[in-house]
Parts: sequence; structure tokens; C-alpha cells
Amino acid sequence: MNKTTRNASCFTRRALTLAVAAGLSSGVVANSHAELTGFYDGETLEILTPWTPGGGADTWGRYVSATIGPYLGEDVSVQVINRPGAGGVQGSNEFQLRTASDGMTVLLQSAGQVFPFMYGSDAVRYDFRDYEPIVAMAQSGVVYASADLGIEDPLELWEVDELIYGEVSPQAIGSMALAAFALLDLPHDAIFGYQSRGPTRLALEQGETNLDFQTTSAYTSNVEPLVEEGTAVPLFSLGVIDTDGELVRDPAFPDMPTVAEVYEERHGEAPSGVAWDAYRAVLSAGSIKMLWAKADAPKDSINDLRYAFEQAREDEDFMADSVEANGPYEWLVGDDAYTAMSATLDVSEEALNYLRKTFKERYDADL
Amino acid sequence: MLAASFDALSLILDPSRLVFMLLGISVGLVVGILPGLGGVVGMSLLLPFIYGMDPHAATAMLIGMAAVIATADTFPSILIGVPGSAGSQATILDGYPMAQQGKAGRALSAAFSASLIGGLIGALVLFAILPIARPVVLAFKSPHLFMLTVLGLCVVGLLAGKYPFRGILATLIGIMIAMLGSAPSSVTFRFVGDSVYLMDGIPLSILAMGLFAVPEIIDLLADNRAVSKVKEISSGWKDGVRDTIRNRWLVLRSAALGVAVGAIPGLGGSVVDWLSYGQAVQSSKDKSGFGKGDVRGVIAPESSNNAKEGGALIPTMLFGIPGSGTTAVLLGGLILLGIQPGPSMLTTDLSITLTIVWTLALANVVGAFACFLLSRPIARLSTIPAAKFAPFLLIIMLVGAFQNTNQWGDLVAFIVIGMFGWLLKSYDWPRAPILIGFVLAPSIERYLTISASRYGWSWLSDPIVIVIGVLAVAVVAAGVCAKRKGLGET
Repeated sequence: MNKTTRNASCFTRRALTLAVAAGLSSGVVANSHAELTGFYDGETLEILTPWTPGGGADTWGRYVSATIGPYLGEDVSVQVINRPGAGGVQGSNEFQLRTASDGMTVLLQSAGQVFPFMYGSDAVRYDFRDYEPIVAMAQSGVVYASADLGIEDPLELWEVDELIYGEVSPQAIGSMALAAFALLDLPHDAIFGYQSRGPTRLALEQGETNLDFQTTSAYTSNVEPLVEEGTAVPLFSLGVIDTDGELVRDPAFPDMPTVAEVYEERHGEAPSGVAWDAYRAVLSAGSIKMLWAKADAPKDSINDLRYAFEQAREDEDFMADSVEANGPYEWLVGDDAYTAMSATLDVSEEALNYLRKTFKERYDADL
Repeated sequence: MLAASFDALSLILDPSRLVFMLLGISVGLVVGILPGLGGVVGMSLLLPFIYGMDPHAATAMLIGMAAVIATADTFPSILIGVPGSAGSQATILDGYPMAQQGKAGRALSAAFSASLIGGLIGALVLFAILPIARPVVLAFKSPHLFMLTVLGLCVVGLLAGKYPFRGILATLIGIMIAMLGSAPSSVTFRFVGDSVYLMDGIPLSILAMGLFAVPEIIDLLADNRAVSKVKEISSGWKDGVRDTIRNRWLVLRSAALGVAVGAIPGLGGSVVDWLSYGQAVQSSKDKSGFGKGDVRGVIAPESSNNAKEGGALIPTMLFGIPGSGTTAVLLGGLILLGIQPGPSMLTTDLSITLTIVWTLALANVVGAFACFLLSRPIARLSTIPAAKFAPFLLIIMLVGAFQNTNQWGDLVAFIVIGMFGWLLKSYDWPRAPILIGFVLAPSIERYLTISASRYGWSWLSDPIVIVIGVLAVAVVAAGVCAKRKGLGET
């Protein structure tokens, strides 16, 4: 991982907390992941989900709530509690300000609360770096184009006259694709205002746009049929961040090049520098779903939560179900989860300024 | 496909699955009858149970719940003039006066029979056009959607009653209220100040309840009288059914409108009852009874708001894009069951699709009959003095308001809007246009932004845009003419 991003962090005032938290969590890892303490036996664990039921992150949370109970102890019930508001900020503030540190509640993190956190919104009262990482999953997606463009290879994108990309808002998950375009320096028009990524896909099918991004599950169910019938062309995947913090090919699309590979093919060298840091920050912000516990929750609760996910991912049946429901993505536990998120959590002020400047220049958008 | 559909029918008629469908229907009935609770609440209640369930049983349960809400929510609309959920407000305009005249039985039975037929038409259309609907949904680009929302806004002209100017002003107020909160295409928050609550804007159900329910209850309490001004409720159950049969073309037209509005994603299915009401007024020769207890004003919205769910399922299943709030949560439920809506709904997951269609049809029949059975005892509510039931009702409504976001802001918003609604009612200002402006404003802004940034000015010369534009002007003109002839106030 790139150490300079850590050091140049704008959050130096937080550095001490961070060091302490990191030290604590590694201590837990070393000592007591060996067994369950029975903290949750007969208890109910709540997953605080700051959105209405039915969205992507809520669905992931409900998958966890339905499957992890048996690994957490005897007779453990796990429930999703929806606290919608302000795109996820409201429920996360509630977790910070009002939720007891008794280990009975964990916070579900997804793009909705992370972007306002990363860009420093005034409404945000929480800081993920104050929490203990439990488990994470990075689910990425694919950038594809309409077959009308007549291209087959991502490198041909630069020969197209008019690339039109449909987007929801500059801080929606589609901004991962926008950051990828910035990294690749790809000229395009972005049309903002679509309600969600479903309508942007519809817009591509209608010919209103010709470039689009979809997350893995939507791509598999709704775009692959278009690719088969010859109306859409896959270009590249956004890639996922592995346990070393490196960008690797998306396991759901092992044959598709990542943004980094397209960059390397075009420039003859691997991407680096501030645009690369910015891309990875936006990528982990947009693609990772994660559970966090309060740092002052009982040690046994944090130990048991991590232990449960470590056991679960060793279980072939659990993993087979998980691949079916979530795609072939890894369950990253404890420090691995933090590492995957660190491109966002430790983003440099320089990279943030680069994003603000790029979005202002390209789209006249304030982040 | 016929053989497959009978296989699916035998699948859901299996007693172990039928039980879950009936369970879903019961939840739907309760949620529908309680004012302020709607499909989203019902879905949230059922979602925790569906993981790991047999997919056919689980979809039958979810759809069973969603299908009967638009039938059951008629009770409070007609009997106490309080919307049962966001989709049954227009029913109040004529259904409530009917209840006041002691004709609650007739209004309810007309509503349920119209609902039943509307729901069945919705299911039938879903079955018939699902295989060919893809190009139809794809035909509506952003400029067309913009013009359709403008057309919807113009229907306000038909609802504004005797003061057209107040109608326009009320619409603008509705649009202004919708501007609170986050902007659709950027990271801007409007008129929010330091309030995190306001970042999402005012929830629709709070606005609807505040505008329509609170003023009614205040007035009832002030007079301490019962809703019905006559002591005995005439039965009139058969008359209601006869009304529906006599107005069969209106039922068909309204149902078709409901399906169409539901099927086009982003049009705001929650105003379909008003659009349908406007259409009924527009197409009637004798408009004098509307707003004073004309049964057609009950039949039109009820047949369309139930047909809407069938329409809304088309984009949900074909594209994974929900056509209404209820279908949005349903989509999450399907994904939890391991079903990713998309083209596969017509191939590998066809049996699930057919389960949905059958459940929609069956649940409509069961739900309508359940409502018929319940209506005799429930209709007596309209003879009870307000002081006895209003406290109970207020509590339910406050709980309903609070469950929107579980923040105190919900209660504050509910009370403030309620007071505002009472002032409007006292000074004879139309309230429906506020709601319509509120619901359509985000779509209007969204599609105008997209049209302008994608096509510049050229979209204005698109033939479909021009046709809808002419239609919109015609609707306004017709509304103004009708007013000259003295249309009843609404």
C-alpha cells in the first residue's frame, strides 16, 4: 500500500486515535481469535442500517443477519434495524451519538455515508476511524458501452466523437466510474439527474446515453443479456482492492481488464500519483460494504463478531450461499477490512483537492 | 406460456403456500385500513421473514400484501375522510360526502367492486404485455417523461374548483415544499439550514395526512358530531355494485390509465388517483355532482389505484426499476430470495413471474371479498361521535407519521402541515393541487435537467413532445371551460 497517502493525511489530529485503535485491534487479532466467548448467547445483535429496506446495502445486511447467527453462538438472533435519512448520514450520526457501546449494535457502512464523510460534509458526526472494523466485502462493477459506438476494445474509446455517460449525482456510487474516467483522462459528457443506476441503464438502452456503469449484480442480470444479444459491449471493470490494499481483477469478471490495466496499456506504465490515489479512495468508498463496532464495546463482543465471520468463511456451505447471493467476493475480517477501506479513510488532502478540482472543471459540480 | 401459467397456479394453490399468501393479504388489509400506513410499511414488516423461504411462497406473501392495500385503504378515505394511504386521497372527494349523507355502504361497495375489477385488469395486462413490454417502456425518453409529468400537473386545472387562481397558487406551494431537501442532480441541499431531518425533504405520507386528515378531525371534534349526518346507514350494498357495473367504461378507462401510469417508471404512481379523478370529471357530461357525493368520483380513483400495482410490476420485473414505493421494497425482497429482476424473469424465472401474476389476481379477489365482509361492522364508525374515536385515530396517525424516519421532525412536520391544512380548508383553498405539485415536482426537475443537458433545445421539436404539449394545453382549456359552466368545488 502507498504509505505516503497515510502520512500526508489531512486528519493528523486523528493520528493518535488511529494509532491507538490500530494497536488495539491488532492486539485483539493476536490474542483471542481462537474461540467464542459466548458473549452473544441468547442475545439479539442489531445491524443498524441507515437506509430504507430494499436497497443494495440493506440486502447485504439482511443476508448477514440471516446467515451469521449460528456462527455467533447459541441461539443468537441477528436483526436489521432501518434508520433512514439524509442518504445514510442520519442513521450513522445516531450510531455515533445515541447507540450504547454494549456490543449489541453494529453499523452497516456503504457508499451513502462514506462519500459525505470523505468529502467532509457538515452534517457528518461520525468518523469510521474511531470504530472497530468487523467485516467487509468489496463488490465492484463494470463500465460498458452501447454497441452503436462500434468499438470492441477499451482503447478505442478515445476514437469516439461523443461519449455520453448517465449519472445520478457527483457523490453517488457511479462517481467511481467518473474517477476512473478522470484517471484515464477520457473525454466525455456526463448527464446528471437520473434517479438511480436502473434508469441510467435504461437511458443507454434508449440511446439517450452510450456509456454506463453497473454494479456486479445488476450487470450480471441486466447487462449480460444485452451483451449476448449484441447491443452492449463490456469495456473494463473497476477492480477490487485486496487484503494488501492492491487493486486486482474483479473475481466476478476474471477475463475483464481493470481500469489500471487499460491505463497501463495506454501509457506503458502502471498508474500512480494523485489521480491514482483519488481513484482508489473513491473506489473503496463506493464499492465496500462493511460492519463496524464501537471501539469501546466489550472486547469479547468484538472478538466474537470477528471470530464468527472467520469461521463462516471457512465453511463451504456458507461460502457457496454467499457466492450465489453476493457474487464471488471475499469476506475480509478485522484488520483486512480496515486495509481495504484505508484508501478512503486515509485519503490525502491533495487527492481530495484533485477530485474537487476535477469535478468542478469537468462537470461544474461542488463536492 | 399457458401451460406454464397453470403449473404456476397449482404451485401457489398448494396449501403450504396458500397460507403465506393469506398471511400477506391479512397484513395488507390491516396496514391498508390503518391511516398513514402503506405498502412500504407492510413490506418492511414482512421482509425479515422471507430469507430462506420457498421463493414462490415468499413472493406470494409479498404480492398478496401489496395487492390488497389499495382496496383496504378505502375504508378511512370514505368513512372518516382521512387517506388510508398515499394512493387513496381522491376517493375522499366524493366518497366522504357520500358517507356524510348516510350512503357509506353504497360508496364502499362501489369502491371495492371497482377495486376488484381494476386489480384484475392490472394482473391481466401484466400477464398479456409483459413479454412485449420492453420496447414500450424503452420508448419513453427523458423529454417525453418531462412532458408527461407536465400533463399530470395540468390535471390540477380540473381539480381546482371554483377558484382557478388559488389552484395554481396551491400547485406552486406544493412544488415549493418539494424543493426542501437534496437536489436531484447535485450535492446541494436546499432550505435545510442545520436540520438533518430536512435533508430528505418532507415525507409524502406526512404531507398527505397533514393536509387531509388533521383538518377533518379538527372540524369533527369542534362540532363533536359523527361523520354521517343521518342516524341510520342505508345498506345500499347492491346499489354500489350496480353503480360500478353501470359505469363499466369508466372503470376500464381508469384501470387502463392506472396500468399505464404505473408502468412508466418515474411518473409518480402516487398521483394516479388524482389523474383518474380528473379524467372522470373531464369525460362526464353532468359534472355538477362531483365533490358532493357522485359515485363516479369513487369508482374512477379506486379502479385505477389498484390497477397501478400491475402496471408498476412491469418495469420492476423487466428492468429491475421499481414503478412505485411498494415495488421498490418488493424488489429488495426478490433480491433477498436470490431473484435478480431482469430479462431472466421471462426465461429462467418465468415461474416466479407467473406466481406474481396469479397472486395479484387471487389476492384482489380475496381482498375485495374480505373488505365486503368487514365493511358492515366498520361502516358503523361513521355514526360514532368524533369525541369517541378521534383520540384513537390521532394516536394511530402520529405513530404512522413517526415511523417515516423515526425522528421527532416527523411529528413536528405532521403538526405544522396539519395546521396549515386546516387553514386551507377553513378558507376554502383547494388542497389536492398542493399534493400533486409536491409529488410531480422532483420528476419535472429531474427530466427537465436531463433533457436540457442532453439535448439542448432540440428536444422541444420531438413530435411526441409536441403532441403531449398540445394535450396538456387542451386539458387546461377544458378545465377552464368546465369552470365557467359551474363545476362543483373540490
